[in-house]
Amino acid sequence: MSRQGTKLKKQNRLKELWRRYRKNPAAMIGLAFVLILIACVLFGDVIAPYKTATGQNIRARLQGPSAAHFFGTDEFGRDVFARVVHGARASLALGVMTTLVALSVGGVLGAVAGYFGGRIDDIIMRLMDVLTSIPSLLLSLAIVSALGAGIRNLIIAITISRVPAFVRIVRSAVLSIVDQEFIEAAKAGGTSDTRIIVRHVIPNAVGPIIVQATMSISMLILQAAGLSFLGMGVQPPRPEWGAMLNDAREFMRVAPHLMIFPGMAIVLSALSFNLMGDGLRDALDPKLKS
Amino acid sequence: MHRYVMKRLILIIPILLGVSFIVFFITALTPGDPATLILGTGAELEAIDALNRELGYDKPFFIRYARYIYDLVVNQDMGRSYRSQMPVSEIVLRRAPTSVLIAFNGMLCACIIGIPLGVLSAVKQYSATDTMSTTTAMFFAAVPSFWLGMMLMYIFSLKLGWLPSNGVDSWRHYILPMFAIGLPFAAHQLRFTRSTMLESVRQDYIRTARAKGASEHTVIWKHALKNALLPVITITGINFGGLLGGAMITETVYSIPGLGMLLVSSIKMKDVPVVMGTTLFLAVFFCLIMLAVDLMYAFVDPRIKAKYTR
Repeated sequence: MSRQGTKLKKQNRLKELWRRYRKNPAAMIGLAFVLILIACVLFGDVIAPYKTATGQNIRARLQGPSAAHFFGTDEFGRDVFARVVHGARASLALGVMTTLVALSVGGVLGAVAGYFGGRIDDIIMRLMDVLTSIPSLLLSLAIVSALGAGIRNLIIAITISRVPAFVRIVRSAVLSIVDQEFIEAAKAGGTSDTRIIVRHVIPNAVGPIIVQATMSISMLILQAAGLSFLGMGVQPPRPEWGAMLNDAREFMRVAPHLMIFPGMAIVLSALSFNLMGDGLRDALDPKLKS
Repeated sequence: MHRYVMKRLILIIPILLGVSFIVFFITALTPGDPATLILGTGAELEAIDALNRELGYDKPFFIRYARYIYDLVVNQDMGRSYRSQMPVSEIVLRRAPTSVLIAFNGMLCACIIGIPLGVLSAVKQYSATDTMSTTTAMFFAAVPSFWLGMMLMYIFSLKLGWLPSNGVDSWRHYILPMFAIGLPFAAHQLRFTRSTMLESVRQDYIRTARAKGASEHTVIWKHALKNALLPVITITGINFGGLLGGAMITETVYSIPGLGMLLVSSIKMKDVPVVMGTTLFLAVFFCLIMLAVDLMYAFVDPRIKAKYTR
């Protein structure tokens, strides 16, 4: 097939995918909220100036929600709405970055394990067994404590704890493909292993992997929030939802809004990525729709 | 069967070696030395050096690791905590029951709520019950357990005053943590049970069971659920690991003196022996759970039982 033909086919496939995705209202709600989150990251300063998120104003401390402060103010008089908006950056960055890095590392290992099988597969999978027998939160906690708290180290820590899951997902997707005839045909035609993996195996395995990656973003947002809650993640005064919740504990009785709004932000962002993942799964494979 | 169990138990050893190596390696990267931690930063340099030598901290990494494993295997000694100077095994074993109980309660809550509702919404697919339970599950799957814990504490302890907010003095203290940990997992359990049940009720043997006149109750709970249970058990086992992790943060919320609080504080204080001991305990526990999961297969599925006994 000519290159232009392939391009056209790809475009049609994307169009068809979008047509099916659009029909799912829950998935569209998820997508809409993800777009809002992205807007918060890109235009955070327009929505609420960063200064109100970090600047202290002791006279206005611990106020409830009002017209001046939609979500109220915290113990330093900082605007909680602004902090929630700017906290999106850390959460989204953590969720998306860690998923992408874990997906690339896990994807390569999983593809190699699934495609070659035998001893390589054994070695990779036993290594992953070891990593999975440490609860992922504990593993990332230990890594952060060794590297020191901070957003970059948090990304490294969460990524390492997430790699085994992607190795498994990609490996099983690859395993279901390598036995098929078109792979055999490609091998018989003398195509190199790398080319087979990149050109034939991965494109055919990409559907379930994208779905898992989307779901993984929501899981990692939760995990990152948990680590920040323990004081291992984003450092103050930078706003981050998990850390905000930890600060809110002290004022639970007098200022419950401090824990309600950041918590809702975490829930809504995790929820919307889950909805998107579900929608993508149904759109990619209508047969699976349950 | 015995041979299979033995084989699996032996297979745990390399996993534990791997886990201990990784954690030992990570903690070795952490800046700071044990003697400064024990004696305090104000201590004399000579004293710090001497204690570090006594603890073997002046030796290279691999020798320290080998010594740790040797002590662990030959002397059953996990060392002493840098902070309290108490034997690590004692600290861990004293706190373990609380954590295990909380994780187990959470799992129970997840299964009792999640599995029956999952079956129900699969059987009555597209009904109001189905829509309601899947929507609720969707929400709870996105709720971090520590936030749920805080909200439950706010509503049931601070506002209504029905349940105590922290500690573990009575059985009533265990109720809120149980739901805080259990509800998000119940949501996962529900979603998973629903999808495997949906597959199971479409199989030929279900049609056969109906055709031969079995009651709907028997068809669903005996034929369909029994066949859908295998993947559900697997996911339950795997979730248990995640649940132990979630329990670590929830313990902080409710100030529960369990392994989670111990671990978090030990990591912050760089109390390496305690971190190692707790991690190894959790890893052993997780491996045993996974073994139990595999053994449960045999009870659910006679085909697998036949494979084990061969």
